[in-house]
Amino acid sequence: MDKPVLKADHISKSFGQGHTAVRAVDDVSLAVSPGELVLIMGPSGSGKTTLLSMLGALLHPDTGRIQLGDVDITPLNERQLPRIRAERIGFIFQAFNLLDALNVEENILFPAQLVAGGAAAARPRALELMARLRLAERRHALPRTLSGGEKQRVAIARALINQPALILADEPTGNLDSQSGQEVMMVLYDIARDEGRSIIMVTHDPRVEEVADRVLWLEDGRLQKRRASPHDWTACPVCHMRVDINRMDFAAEHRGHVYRLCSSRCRERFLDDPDAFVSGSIS
Amino acid sequence: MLHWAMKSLWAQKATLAAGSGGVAAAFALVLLLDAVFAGESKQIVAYIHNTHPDVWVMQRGVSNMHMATSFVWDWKAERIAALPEVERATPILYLNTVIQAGTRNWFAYVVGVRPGERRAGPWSIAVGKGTTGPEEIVLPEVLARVAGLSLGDTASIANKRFHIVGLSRQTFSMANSIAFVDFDDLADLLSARGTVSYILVDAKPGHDPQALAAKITRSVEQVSALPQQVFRDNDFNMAMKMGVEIILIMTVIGTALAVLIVAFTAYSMTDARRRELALIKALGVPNRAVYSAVVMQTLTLTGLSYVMVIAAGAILLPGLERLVPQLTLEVTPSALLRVAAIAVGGAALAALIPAYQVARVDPVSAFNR
Ligand SMILES: Nc1ncnc2c1ncn2[C@@H]1O[C@H](COP(=O)(O)OP(=O)(O)O)[C@@H](O)[C@H]1O
Ligand SMILES: [Mg+2]
Repeated sequence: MDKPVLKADHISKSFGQGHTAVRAVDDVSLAVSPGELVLIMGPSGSGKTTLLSMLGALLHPDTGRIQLGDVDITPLNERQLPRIRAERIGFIFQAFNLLDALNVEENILFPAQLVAGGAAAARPRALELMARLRLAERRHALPRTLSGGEKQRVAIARALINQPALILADEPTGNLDSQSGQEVMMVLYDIARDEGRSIIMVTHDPRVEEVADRVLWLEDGRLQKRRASPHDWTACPVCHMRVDINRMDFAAEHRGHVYRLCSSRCRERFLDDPDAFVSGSIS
Repeated sequence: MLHWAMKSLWAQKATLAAGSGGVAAAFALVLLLDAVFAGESKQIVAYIHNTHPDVWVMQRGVSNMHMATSFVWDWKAERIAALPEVERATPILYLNTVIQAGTRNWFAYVVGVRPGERRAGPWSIAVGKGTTGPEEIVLPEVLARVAGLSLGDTASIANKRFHIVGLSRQTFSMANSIAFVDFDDLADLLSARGTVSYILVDAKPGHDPQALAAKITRSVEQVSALPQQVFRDNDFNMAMKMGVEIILIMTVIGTALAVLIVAFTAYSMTDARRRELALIKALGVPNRAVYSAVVMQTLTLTGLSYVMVIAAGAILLPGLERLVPQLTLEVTPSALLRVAAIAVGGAALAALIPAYQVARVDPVSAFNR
């Protein structure tokens, strides 16, 4: 096996003190190889974001050790970590997080100014990424004029601009309808695979499972064996796509029963006329 | 980073405009007050400045004109005139008093000039004549206009009535107008026949005023002689000193106001961008880079205010002076420099608040949806 891009040994993180303390991440160890796509799944509040924050050098673990490539980041302080993040990690967020005042190209180039070479040297790569992500036409557009899918494609280009070995994505499709979500996911996967970058992705999207190298299940802050229960899945009553039963984002209630929809679009259609979709369907 | 900071600032145009407008108002307050005092001070030395002899001679122990009293025996003027270096020596009588004109009293320098003497009289006449005979007076044109008087009307000094025979320019100020009367009339008012107040001495070409003043002080008993520049500066500095405290207070208030407005503007701008700050920190922008971006923003804000106040001043001041002729405004380089210093220092001070906010933003919050 190649030398891991990321290696975490027995990391834990608690919030709060005394009997109100929450053990958000509890003794997690994992290693990610170059080019690997690792999914982290688990119910809401299980510690996925906290884990990702620590792996992304944004949060110090209370205990344990994290190694990014050949650098042990555990002893590094707030003066040293920003550079590590800029050079080695690409972040993709659920909320897109583009800079409102900057256009598409400027947003993509923003992290480039934080590394050697600067924005000027990164411009050819930005153009290439924009072409690949079908953003060339929108190069000078401001974020507020973009669709959700376009915004997330800009965020993907931004995460890739500095050619980081590792990309961390926290529910990247969480704010997208299922079609844009699918598209964004595939393009991220394609580029990362072509360029040999590793991805750790928190997602509820069952479709990504098909292409993931590994799926980790986090529950109560611990990596656990996933319950192989048939109840893990349900079908979206509108489009009949698979939906994780733990996923409540697009849930809707009807006649005392909770239905899990795959996307906001399906949820809207469902709420328009629930009876059109529930008759005969079990959920 | 800088690019982003400036673009973000620009994207919040309304806040930027309100903030820099407020700061510009604070700056304007400071500048205007200073300009009023400098303008008044300049008017206080208007007589000295415009008559411009080489040397001023006065009673020993006196060193200026404003609020001063000086009496010198009149024969000393002839003694001085007889010195080989002296081209001419022009005596005047002088009284710092009030003139009753129209329904009001006006603070004024009343200058008594020998009949037909133009050397020490008004230097610019708007209407009428520039010399005065018995019971005649030349008043500032602005004073006459504000008092509703014109040629042929009368004004009084210590209950003695004078007919207005001329109106002069550049002689009005709120604290100190300049009026010209007949020498003997003023001597009677002062009960001071046989004396003069000041002697305006013009040197022959090639003679140094400094040396001439020293010689006069040496050779004529009981007088002081000062070169024009020294005499003028004595009065100007004295006038400015009267304003110094109030200018200082105003500067402090203006500075505090400016800092508060900048701090508040920067606070609300930073607050509105907490999410973006979390993001850029997460992406790897070091804290000190974010701080400098914040300082650049506050500096831009005060810089913009400075430009605004200068531009507004250049446009509005001439109009203001025409609209309110009583007002003499003088924007001095030192006041401009002072406000520039406030702009820079205030920006740095005001940046502390957003810097504190920046420090508190947790980059992990970029993960919030
Ligand atoms: N900054 C924090 N302060 C206190 N508690 C926190 C903080 N961040 C997360 N938690 C808690 O830690 C647990 C895990 O949260 P999180 O990592 O956000 O879960 P997930 O991303 O899986 O939904 C939750 O119980 C949450 O309330
Ligand atoms: Mg989360």
